[in-house]
Amino acid sequence: MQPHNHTCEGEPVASIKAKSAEDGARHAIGELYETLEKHLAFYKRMAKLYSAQSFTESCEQLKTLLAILFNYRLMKVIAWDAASHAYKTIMSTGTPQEDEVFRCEDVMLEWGAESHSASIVPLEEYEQRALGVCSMLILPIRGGQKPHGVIVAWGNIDPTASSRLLMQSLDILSKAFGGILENITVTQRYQRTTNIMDDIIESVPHAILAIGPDDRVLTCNRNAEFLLDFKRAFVIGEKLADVLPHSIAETMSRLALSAISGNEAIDYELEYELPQSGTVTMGISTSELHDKDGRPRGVLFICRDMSLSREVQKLRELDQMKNEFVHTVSHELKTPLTAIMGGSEILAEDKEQFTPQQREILDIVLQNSHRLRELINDLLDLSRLETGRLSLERMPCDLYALAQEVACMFINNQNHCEVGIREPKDLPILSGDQEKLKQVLQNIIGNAVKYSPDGGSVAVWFEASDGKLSVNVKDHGIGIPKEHLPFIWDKFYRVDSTTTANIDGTGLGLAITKHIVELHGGTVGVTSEPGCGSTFTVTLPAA
Amino acid sequence: MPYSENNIVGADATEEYSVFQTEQLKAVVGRIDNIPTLPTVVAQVTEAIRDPRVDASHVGQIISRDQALAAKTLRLVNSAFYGFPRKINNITRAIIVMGFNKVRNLALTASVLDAFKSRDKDFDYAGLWKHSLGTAIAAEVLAKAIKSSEIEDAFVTGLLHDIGKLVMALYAKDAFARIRDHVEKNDVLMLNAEMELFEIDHGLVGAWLADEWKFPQKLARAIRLHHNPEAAREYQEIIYITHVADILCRALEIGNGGDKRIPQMSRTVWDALKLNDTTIDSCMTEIYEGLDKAKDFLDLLK
Repeated sequence: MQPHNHTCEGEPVASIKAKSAEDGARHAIGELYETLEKHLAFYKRMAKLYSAQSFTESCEQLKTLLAILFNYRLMKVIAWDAASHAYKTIMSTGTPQEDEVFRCEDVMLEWGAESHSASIVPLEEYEQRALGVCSMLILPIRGGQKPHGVIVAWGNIDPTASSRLLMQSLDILSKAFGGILENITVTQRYQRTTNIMDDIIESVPHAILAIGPDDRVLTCNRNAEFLLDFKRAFVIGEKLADVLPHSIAETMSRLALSAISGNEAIDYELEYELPQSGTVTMGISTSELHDKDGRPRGVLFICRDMSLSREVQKLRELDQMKNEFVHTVSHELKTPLTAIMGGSEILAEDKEQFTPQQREILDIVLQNSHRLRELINDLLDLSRLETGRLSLERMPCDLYALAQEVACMFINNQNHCEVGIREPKDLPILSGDQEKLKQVLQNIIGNAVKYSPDGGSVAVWFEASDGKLSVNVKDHGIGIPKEHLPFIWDKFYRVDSTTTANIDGTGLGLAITKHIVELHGGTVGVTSEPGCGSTFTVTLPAA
Repeated sequence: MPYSENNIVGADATEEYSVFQTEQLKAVVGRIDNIPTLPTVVAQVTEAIRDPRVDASHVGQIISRDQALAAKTLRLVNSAFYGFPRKINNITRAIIVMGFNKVRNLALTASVLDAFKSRDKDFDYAGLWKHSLGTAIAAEVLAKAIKSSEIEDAFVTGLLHDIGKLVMALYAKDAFARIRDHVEKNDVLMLNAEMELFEIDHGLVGAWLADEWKFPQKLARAIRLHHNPEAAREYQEIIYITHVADILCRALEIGNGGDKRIPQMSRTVWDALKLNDTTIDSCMTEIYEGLDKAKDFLDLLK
């Protein structure tokens, strides 16, 4: 505010000077008021930003607030998107076309997000020409630990005339916006958790029902509607005695009283008749209901259909008994069988002393004892695997060497199959149970040979990738019809058809194979075409 | 500014120095008359930015009156440490990009670095500056980590916290030689040696210089109390941050603080700043990264 230093005729210089000084002061005060009013308006408006409930709402407030301080042409909110590893515009006051023109380079965004205060960047001349504005405002959005992003605004703010007050107000706006966004994120996260909690309560496979101290229903879940046979809409707010059959309501009220006095029930059994499903045995557990400050609010009932869980329990027990039975029987069978086999093998050593008919009988005895031993061994293996009694003795294994060993067992097979193993390159060493893995290979290579009655080649090859190693065994045998494929890994499952009628087998080999492979952390797979052959794949994690 | 009695005991001197301390200050640095002056521009800027309505071009004009200082300030503004992706070629622009306080602090930094240029060979002068720069970076990193409102001032405070040691090293050589001798013989903190020999410490000497040079009050207090943060009654946060940053740099062995010991961390400060090992660990990496980028600061000493 330079006082004017010229003189007017007729007036003394001193008086003119005083007058212009007065003008200057008046002007300065006027300016001061203007600034004050602008900033007062700004701070009044800030209250609205603080009460914003959503991102959109806070952006609306931001637009207004920024406009009070700075007459911008276009404003964007840009945030770092961790998923795509790039900055993304999440709000803009411009059209998509304008958004393309008004851009801020990534390095500048990076700098802005990391900085702690407002910056006004004067634009280069070519930028000024292209955009028609002379400066770009960058405000960091900070909240929580990581920088969120930046607010960028383009406009004709005069960089040289920007005051410290303006910069400070911009800083306050940037901090407030960051804080609000953080709050909104936290609130939304909290709401999401609450929603999930609701979903969980709805999905629990038990009936959940809460009553208040006056015996009126507070809420219940979907399963309560099924188990207690009522509609939610009609029971909430009603007394238990008014919505449930007399016997149930009475029992529940009694249990509620005990729960309040500290005796919570666990699976208290209650039998009742349902019109559709007949007699139901319900197990009722109770617990006192508290709010988050620990004040009692009523009683919570968790009811389950005991008949259903009893059924499952019974089946489990049966399964357990069966496993025990198979295990014991197999053991008991093994001892006499060893005697039978030992005896017949000694007899067979000197076959000349027998008549041809006796020899034939002896062969049949031997053959069937072998089959029986095979069956018993398989059964024992399977029962050990199923009951978890089998533990692996892990050591470094060379699958290729194992496969070669197994292939030797099938050199002179009945079907004249030729087992060919492709030598692998850089096959990783595997940590596994050598004997068990050999059994796996024996089973799948054996099957390939067994189910190729017309001969042909069996190809074995290895593949290694992503820390996994797979063995593939491909035959050109009879193949497996599609409808049987899902079941071939089940125990005792055999594909019955005219083509398999003459092929022996216990139906346990693949079940054992699957168990062993899974125990090693691997998977099994098969593709097949009837008449063309099958390919079995065993995939194991490399050491 | 030549030393005169008035500067310490006169009407302008703060009451913060006891009569005894004043005497001791005189004994240590009293004889010197060649402490360099600080460009008046810095004090003018400090004064100017107290008015909230001051605009960038006005402050820019003040700094630009001292062309050499303006050039050095711009060099710091454009240093890798601040990483602004475009070139800033005048002070006014620097102010609107970096902020009023930061540019004032950089001008102050540039002028102090300039005033303390030295070719003195018998003192590890570069080592002390490196420690100061490390502390500056640590203070800024720490301020960011704890979301302090002192982010803008943390750097300059860290940088100048040991300025008392420099004053003694360059302008009170006798006293300084005795202190170093004491440190070497007894393996104690420089601070302890100073107290033992003169009953004043480098914090007090630094604060005296800060007053002489009309540094902002906050800065002068932080310089004075960085070893005695519990005594702070105002500006606690910046004093606490400087205290921790100094110790961090000693522990990380960045530069040379004049002795081989690490000062004791104040429990009060640790608790007040709500520090924990995780925060400190994450600061460590950032401090080293910052040091790499802040070479321009030390170049100004050459």
